[in-house]
Amino acid sequence: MKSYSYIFLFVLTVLISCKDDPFNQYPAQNVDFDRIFSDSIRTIGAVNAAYSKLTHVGRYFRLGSQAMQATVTDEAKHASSTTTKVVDDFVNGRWNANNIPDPAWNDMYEGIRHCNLFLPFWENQRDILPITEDTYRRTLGELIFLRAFYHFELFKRYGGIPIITKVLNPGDDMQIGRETYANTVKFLVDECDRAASLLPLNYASYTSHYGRATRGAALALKSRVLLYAASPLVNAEEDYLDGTDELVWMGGYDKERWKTAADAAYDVIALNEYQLYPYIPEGNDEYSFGYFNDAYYGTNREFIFGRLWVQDNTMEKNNAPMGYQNALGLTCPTQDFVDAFLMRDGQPFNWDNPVHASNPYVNRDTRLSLYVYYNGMKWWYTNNREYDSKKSFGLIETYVGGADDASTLTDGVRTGYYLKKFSSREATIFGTEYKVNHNFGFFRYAETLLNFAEAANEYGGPTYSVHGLDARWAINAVRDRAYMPPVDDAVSQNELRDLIRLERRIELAFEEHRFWDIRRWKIATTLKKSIDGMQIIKNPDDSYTYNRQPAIESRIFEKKHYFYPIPQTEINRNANLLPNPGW
Amino acid sequence: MKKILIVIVLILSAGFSALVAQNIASGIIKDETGEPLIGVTVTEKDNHANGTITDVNGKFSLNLKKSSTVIISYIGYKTTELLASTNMIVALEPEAINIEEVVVVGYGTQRKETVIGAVTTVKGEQLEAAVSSNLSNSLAGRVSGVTTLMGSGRPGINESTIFIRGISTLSSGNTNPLILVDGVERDMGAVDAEDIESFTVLKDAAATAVYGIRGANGVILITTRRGQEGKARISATVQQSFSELIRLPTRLNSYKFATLRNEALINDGMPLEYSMSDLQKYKDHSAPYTHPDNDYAADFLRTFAPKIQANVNITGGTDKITYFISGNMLNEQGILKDYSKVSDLERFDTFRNLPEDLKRTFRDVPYDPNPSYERFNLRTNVDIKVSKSTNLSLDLTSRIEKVRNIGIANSNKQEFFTRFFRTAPNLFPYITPNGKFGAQGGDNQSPLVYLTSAGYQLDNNNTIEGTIRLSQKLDFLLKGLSVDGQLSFDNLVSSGMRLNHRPEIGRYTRNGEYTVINTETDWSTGAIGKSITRQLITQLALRYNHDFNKQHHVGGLLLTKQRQYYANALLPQLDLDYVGRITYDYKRKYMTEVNMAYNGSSNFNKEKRFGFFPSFSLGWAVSEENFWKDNIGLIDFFKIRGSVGEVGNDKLGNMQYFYQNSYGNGATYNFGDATTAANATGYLETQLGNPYVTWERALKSNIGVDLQFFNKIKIAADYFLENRYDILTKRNTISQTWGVNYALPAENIGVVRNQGVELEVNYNEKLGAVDFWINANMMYAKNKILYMDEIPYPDELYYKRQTGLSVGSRFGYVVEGFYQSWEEINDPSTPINLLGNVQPGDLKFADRNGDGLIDDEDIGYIDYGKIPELSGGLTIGASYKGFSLSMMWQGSTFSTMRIGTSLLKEFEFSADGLKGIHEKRWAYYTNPLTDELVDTRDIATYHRLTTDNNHFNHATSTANALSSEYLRLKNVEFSYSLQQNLLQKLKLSRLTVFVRGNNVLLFDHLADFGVDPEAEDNSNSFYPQHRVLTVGTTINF
Repeated sequence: MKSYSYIFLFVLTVLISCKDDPFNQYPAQNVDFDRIFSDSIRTIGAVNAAYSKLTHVGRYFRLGSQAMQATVTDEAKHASSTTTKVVDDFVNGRWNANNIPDPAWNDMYEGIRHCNLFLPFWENQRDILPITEDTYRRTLGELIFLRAFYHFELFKRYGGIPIITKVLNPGDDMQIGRETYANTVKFLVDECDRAASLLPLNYASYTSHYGRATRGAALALKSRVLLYAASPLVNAEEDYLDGTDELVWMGGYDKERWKTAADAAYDVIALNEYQLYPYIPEGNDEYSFGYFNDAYYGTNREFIFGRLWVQDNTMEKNNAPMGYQNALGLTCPTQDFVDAFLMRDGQPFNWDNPVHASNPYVNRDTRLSLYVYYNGMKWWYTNNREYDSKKSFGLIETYVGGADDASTLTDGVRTGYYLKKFSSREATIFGTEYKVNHNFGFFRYAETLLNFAEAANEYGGPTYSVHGLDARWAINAVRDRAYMPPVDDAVSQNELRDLIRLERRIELAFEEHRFWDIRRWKIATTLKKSIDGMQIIKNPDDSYTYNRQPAIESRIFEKKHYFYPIPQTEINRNANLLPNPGW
Repeated sequence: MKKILIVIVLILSAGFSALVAQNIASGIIKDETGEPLIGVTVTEKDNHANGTITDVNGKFSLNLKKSSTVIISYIGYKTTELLASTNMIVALEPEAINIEEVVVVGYGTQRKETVIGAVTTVKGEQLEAAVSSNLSNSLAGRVSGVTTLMGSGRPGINESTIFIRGISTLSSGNTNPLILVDGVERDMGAVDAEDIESFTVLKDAAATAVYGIRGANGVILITTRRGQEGKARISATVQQSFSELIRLPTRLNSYKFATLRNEALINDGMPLEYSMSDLQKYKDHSAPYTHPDNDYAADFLRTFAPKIQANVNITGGTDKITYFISGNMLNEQGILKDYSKVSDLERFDTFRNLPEDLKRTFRDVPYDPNPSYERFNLRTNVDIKVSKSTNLSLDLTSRIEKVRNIGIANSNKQEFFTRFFRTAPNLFPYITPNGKFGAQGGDNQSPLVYLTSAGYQLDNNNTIEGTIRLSQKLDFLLKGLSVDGQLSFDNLVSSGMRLNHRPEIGRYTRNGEYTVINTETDWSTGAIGKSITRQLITQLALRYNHDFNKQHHVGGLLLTKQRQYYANALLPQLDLDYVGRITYDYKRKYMTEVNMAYNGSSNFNKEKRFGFFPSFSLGWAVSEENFWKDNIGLIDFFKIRGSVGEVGNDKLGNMQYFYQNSYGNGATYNFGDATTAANATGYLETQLGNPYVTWERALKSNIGVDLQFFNKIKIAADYFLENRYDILTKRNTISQTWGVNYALPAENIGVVRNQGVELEVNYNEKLGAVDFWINANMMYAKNKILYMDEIPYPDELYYKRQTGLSVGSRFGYVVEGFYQSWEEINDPSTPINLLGNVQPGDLKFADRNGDGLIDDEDIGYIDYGKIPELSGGLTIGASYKGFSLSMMWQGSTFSTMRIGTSLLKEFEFSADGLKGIHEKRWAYYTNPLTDELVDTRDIATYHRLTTDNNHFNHATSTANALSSEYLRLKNVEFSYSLQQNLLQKLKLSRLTVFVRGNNVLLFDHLADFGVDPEAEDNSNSFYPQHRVLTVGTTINF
């Protein structure tokens, strides 16, 4: 019997000791560089991922889960009590270095790190990359462009920033300081030029690459950078606090910066690759800028660069008028914004004009009906098995007591309008939900034209021409597409400046331009300190009375708000990171 | 033990010398005071089947068949062997309390008197009184140094979190002690208290060093019962419990709710939602469909939930083989009401008023949707004496657990109560006039949906645990040497199914409009992911134990153990241990012990894999010294013990391979045209590895004394000090310009010191026929973060620093009161509040840095964290002639709880606030409906009402991080055991009936919120804890 027990113990001993290295189990779930560069698909995958920090419709733009950036400008009011904190802080000026209601600082540096992680292989170890020369040049261009784009997103918020061009690892210097504003501009311009020399003009022969950066994207970014650098906020004798802080100031006024900006915009035009997307004839009321299926992925030549996004109806759900099932009606254009639309004949709208005032939504710039749901407008889903059963005529009712009126609803006070731009007529939000691609454009040709118009006008006035093109030509192209008459031939430089600024306000509305434009024009402090809404009373004879609701929400803006404060936690961590003036 | 051996040897030799065989043994057996003892077992030696017990007069008579020696045994007395004769008068010697007790320690046992580590042992019986379905809940207040927090009362999902001597590490997931059941890492929750022989907690380095890399958080050893030689003894226990919820948040009725909702809207400057006629209808219940007044607690929770527990075990054996076989079952039902019959619905107006044809569309429910927990447990522990020097044991446990929950897709385990806590009383009628279920949205729907039409979810856990162990004495090589080997294999398979159904639900408004929210989907079944975990443990040990000249006691252990653990998605996890121990004592007066472990863990890089953990301890039994014995009679026993050593912690959350850089195939992006558009694959950096990552180290020291007075009072007191360093934590000083926030590597940089005291007092007294006992224990542990890589806050922001504070300290705003008026808010001397729109009635936070602004910089330390620093228990009991009464108080203090945000939010979209808050809210306004002035400013303790759910009033502050100290009457037990004379007639050896109450009383500060002080921090929903009444009986044959 005893011998059995010895056998058992012996077997156990063997069991315990037989493996020479029992810990030797390769953790296969982890991928290393060698594996990424083991084939071309993975190698390109590293570049694909560099795009992932671009903002998109799924994140509902910049301010977090539901609020659009437009809702902290004079474009709109945000109408949900569940996400108001971010918006409230912005519009009431309750933000500071401890509370920046915008996640860009972290997000963009993560994107930059990703580019830096892979760029050294492209720049120094070409031979280990299993990709063709064409692909190599293109992907190198993409990485350089994206890194520049991420830096630009920080630049417009913070001014001069720490420029990070290598992967930081434990043991590296942690105290990286900010570059001056001018140096940041120079870095961005150089990087855009470098990327432009590598990137292809388009992907016409590789349709599966639509959505990737192109030469036009790099040049459009350069155009915007130089436009910002020439703008009054930084291109001035003093910085905006009458000081000389080169982190937020170009170091003096130089008119030539406008010329550089005009030339950069011209470079995009000269590519001859882009044209304004033909405006859909009147009566049809969807205005696609390359956002949806019908102009999807490459067929829309106005679309220079943007984030392609999956089929989705979040935009429609979030913004459709409240009275419809599942609709949240969150983004509500302001009366100020609606008033800014000209009449069809190019004259300003005027409430004191009884004709205008009695029927305020007719004979306006056609874009009003493309951007805004207003009272009496037809609910426009064409394939409308989805008419809401509650609303027999499918009309928008924002009058008091109407189905879409805020006063019958509990979720915040609205303006009387809802946002239509970015919503597709194809998408449905109740019943069988049908979803549509929603691409978010960062650069489109209309902006390039307006960049050109602004820079050329500032440099040499309405008649200053670059290779035969002048500012009036550029703005008229955009107006013409919207059936608006051309600007007067005799327009002065100042008049044209106002018209260009108005055109940007209308044409580029809700595309995250207004927020920055009022800053770089240095007009944010002079704008109204509040926004207005509209109360509409339906009279017994079915006519309407319009009661303007003044100051329904504040728009506090102090001079220091021209740039974001550097996050306090970051300043605490890094002694070389200087704060922005005023904060 | 040794004394017994000597006695037995002496008696045996006496037996051999008396060669005259006697046929009858008879006589009287008395205790040490001369009182006759009833029920003493007298058996014939070598023929255990032949036995008897003494009668009421202590008398016995036994016909002997084979031998001439009898064995006399009685609980609490030394078992004695005597040569049989007639008219024997035997005075049994009481078993000296604990002196010879053996204590389970790491990888072995030791005599209690020579243990020098900080070890606390509890007998299995002591835990039975807690009658919880989860063993972890039975420890509260019973074991010194152990703190428990029971977060939920849901059947089957109610285990407590256990802390031994507080916390010493920075990350909250890594504080769990190592738990071993019969020497194997196993889940203790499902072990039946009746199967437990002893429960041992190892606390200091001397006790835990043998567990090396896994010992730093303390170790719990659970030993199950084993067979005892003798006739088969059957013990059966059956108990029935009734549970009621201790407390629920008290809710508003619809009228009050609507009134207050209006008030919140007035505060926010918004139009009123409810008119006078709405309010009137809520008040008089005249419109149950459009203006319901739902009382969810009354309608859907029953008063008592039943629980049945039964255990049968058999133990017995011969000198060759002994066995312990136990089977037990447990069935714990949930607290939801039964609406399975259509007729049950008649109690609701909204159903009763339906026309008959609509009523007929409702069907009886063919299943039970109530949450429940069922468990069947079978345990067989068999020991076989293969030869004189060889022992073989076989332990096999198999267990089936069934956990049932109400059927909700994507079920959150607490779903029902989540909904219940957060649904307004007027949100929907239970049933709409067209015979559908009322709802506000998919998440807020009539609870009847869950109880009648949503199916159920069933999770099954099947566990098999087996151990085979062989030990061989090697006395022929060296006296006292033995070798043993052990092989354990555990297998846990979890799987589940769901019966799915979704009835039509619809919104029914105050205007009487019905809109469909979800249409009906058909009944279907679906599988819930299967999970399989298993572990294989092999262990080989060489042991030595010998006394030289009865003066030098030497013990030694050399052991190697390998554990492989396979969880679903992870690569096998491997631990490899080499353990050594030397113990020595001289006449049990001076003792010393050296423990060491050399452990490896697959969590770490090759170079960082193995660690060496030594400990050294010394003990001095002062009372064994002659000068003491001669001079100090008062104190029978006095021992001083001290230890120092190092142990580790390799628990780093669930992370494996921390040391590697990794790039995941994660980020995707859309490229392509309308037809080819596809998610392109992307590779992102997912983890910045740290090749130097390794275990935490704990340098622990402990000084303790054991005292015993008059053989009645025993005291154990310990002071402990632990420095935990190399704690794995992430750096906070790395600028985000690095862009690695998402993947910052953890590094071994944290340092925490934890120190405290433990005290345990036992007092046993016999006053005539009354036995009386008190056990009190307490522990105070205070830790301090000595280093963590923290943002270097300037001195004026000192209150933001965590370094120097305890782990988990509460941070938030300091509340100074309310803003009482607009004048106060607009006063230039009032700091500007940047947190939101300020109104009178909002909380006024302190401007701690004095910059004139209330913002994030004013957040700082405010109070204790969630884990109590002081905890303790007090057990008092008495027994008299079979009657026994005991109670146990338990409590803790120096802790806070952050009230869940949803409980604080007055009106989260559709949610209801708490009555406790609303009645004490700040209000000052004129009600436009009644023109009445509402002014509660003088009595307000809570902020004004608002519909803004992100309001700063809800931010963590001294207003909602409240003391969670409490005192509970945890158990009360009354039992009666039948006296011997009756037992004899019934041919039983024991019959006890008992009544137990658990969680009988609770004193704390959280009644306004309706939450339990032990509930999870910041929790918005939980299955509340129970108050339990149990009746039961134990019968031994």
